[in-house]
Amino acid sequence: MSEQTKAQPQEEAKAPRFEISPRDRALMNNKLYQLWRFIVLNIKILKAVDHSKRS
Amino acid sequence: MAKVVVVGAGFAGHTAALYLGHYLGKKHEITVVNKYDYFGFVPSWVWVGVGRMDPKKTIIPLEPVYRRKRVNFVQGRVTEIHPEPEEQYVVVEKAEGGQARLDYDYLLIATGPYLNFEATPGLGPAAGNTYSICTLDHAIQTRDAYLEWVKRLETGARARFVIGTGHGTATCQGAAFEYITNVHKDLVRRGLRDRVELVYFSNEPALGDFGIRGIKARYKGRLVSSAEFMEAIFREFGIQWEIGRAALKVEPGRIYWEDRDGNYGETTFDFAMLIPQFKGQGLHMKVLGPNGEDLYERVFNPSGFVLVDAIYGLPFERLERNPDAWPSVYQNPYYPNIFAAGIAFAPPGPISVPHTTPNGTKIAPAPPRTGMISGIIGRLVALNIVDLIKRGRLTHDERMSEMFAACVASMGDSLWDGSAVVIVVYPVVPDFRRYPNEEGRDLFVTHMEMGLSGAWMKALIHYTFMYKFKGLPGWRIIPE
Repeated sequence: MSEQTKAQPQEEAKAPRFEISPRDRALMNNKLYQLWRFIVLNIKILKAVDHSKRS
Repeated sequence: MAKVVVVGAGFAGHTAALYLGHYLGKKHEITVVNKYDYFGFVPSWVWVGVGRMDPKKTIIPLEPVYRRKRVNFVQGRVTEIHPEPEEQYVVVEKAEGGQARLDYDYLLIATGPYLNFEATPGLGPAAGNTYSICTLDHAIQTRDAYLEWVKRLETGARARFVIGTGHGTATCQGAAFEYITNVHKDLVRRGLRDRVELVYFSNEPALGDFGIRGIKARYKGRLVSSAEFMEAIFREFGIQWEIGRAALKVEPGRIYWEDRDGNYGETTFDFAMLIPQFKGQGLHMKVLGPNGEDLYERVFNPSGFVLVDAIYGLPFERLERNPDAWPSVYQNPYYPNIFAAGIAFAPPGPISVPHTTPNGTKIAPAPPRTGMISGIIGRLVALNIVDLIKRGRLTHDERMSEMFAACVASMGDSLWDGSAVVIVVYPVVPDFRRYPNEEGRDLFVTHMEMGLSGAWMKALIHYTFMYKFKGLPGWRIIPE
């Protein structure tokens, strides 16, 4: 077993630590919610493409 | 009739060839030179590497595509460039044997990386200690080795898999992140996850740096850094991480490393997939004048990347405050008819904060110029060559400090229970003048989230891009 990185204990001292909550976990696999996110993400990316120079 | 030669048919070169064929193919002579006779959709090789995708689904034979687009194709590699105005030709070592001379009026170098496994002794499939997913052959080898381990795990064995980067200045951490999370997901699916210790080993100063110094985006009402986000994912998946480490040497089952403080140590493994340092393919080319004089330094930098219209040599403190130091038209300053796109162009410096250990080892990810960024630059350069031929001037420009990029990092391919992290970043290189916040980025556009929708996005990208790269009707509508 090799050494674990130093970063982990340091990060654990940080507060509040960003965690994936049970609610997040449920939403991440909720098909209806994810369909909504899929649509939003596509719009967001297409808007960003439009927003960028793409000259 | 103008002659355009494109060297390389990856994301940048193939995109450029499609546009050049579309706009110039009927009246001008476009020729693509590529080592392989196929285009490989690199982002899907993480799935090939875990046996979740047939390699054939990730490649497109180039010749039929180019025939339709009126583009000539030569399988081989360029060994010499003769750039002086009275010559202007490249020498190609053909795959079928023999040499060919290709004259050009415009030359686009889009060769992708030279995988510099030699920079880390013992690294890579040739040395036999670690695997890679950087070429299709490597991904297939990695898949075979991984599935061999799966068989052993099924008989009760336990193992330690180390996945990440194999050099202090390696880039493409995104691919390593995708591979380790796909391995995790595949092992969960097979009921073998508890038998494997998964370790992410990287040169990044923080998780989620990805060579673009990480991002910050609004998530659940607060500003979350990619480091926090990736740490949460790794904790969720039970993946350990060792970051800020430069692999110095690899021996069977052991990586010898140095960390950012200059400490030395070892990490053991049973199976390892480590991305090597990338160098430019220019290292394998000669640039010669009419009398055989060496003109290499006019076209390539010492690492083999093509010199373009960037401001080179700035110290990092000045470079990070000067977004205009990044190239805008990707044109060689000595030979204005030579362009570069994708990994082939020499960036003016890193995006991530550089770091040198007390022992003099550089540990900092190199800037990524892959995927979407490559495609955008390939298109831009192709349109500029079209403009030069038709109108005699350049009309397109886009610096990486003005460029938007979306990255979908797969964490399981299943459309039912897969997942992916979607990262939208604008601009790729922070611009502290336009965005005077801590990040130098547009915090409204920059975005980060994970979930099943990401897996759908990744699948959508695979199929739409495979369609686009076949040059089928409407291919230009699909953005790079």
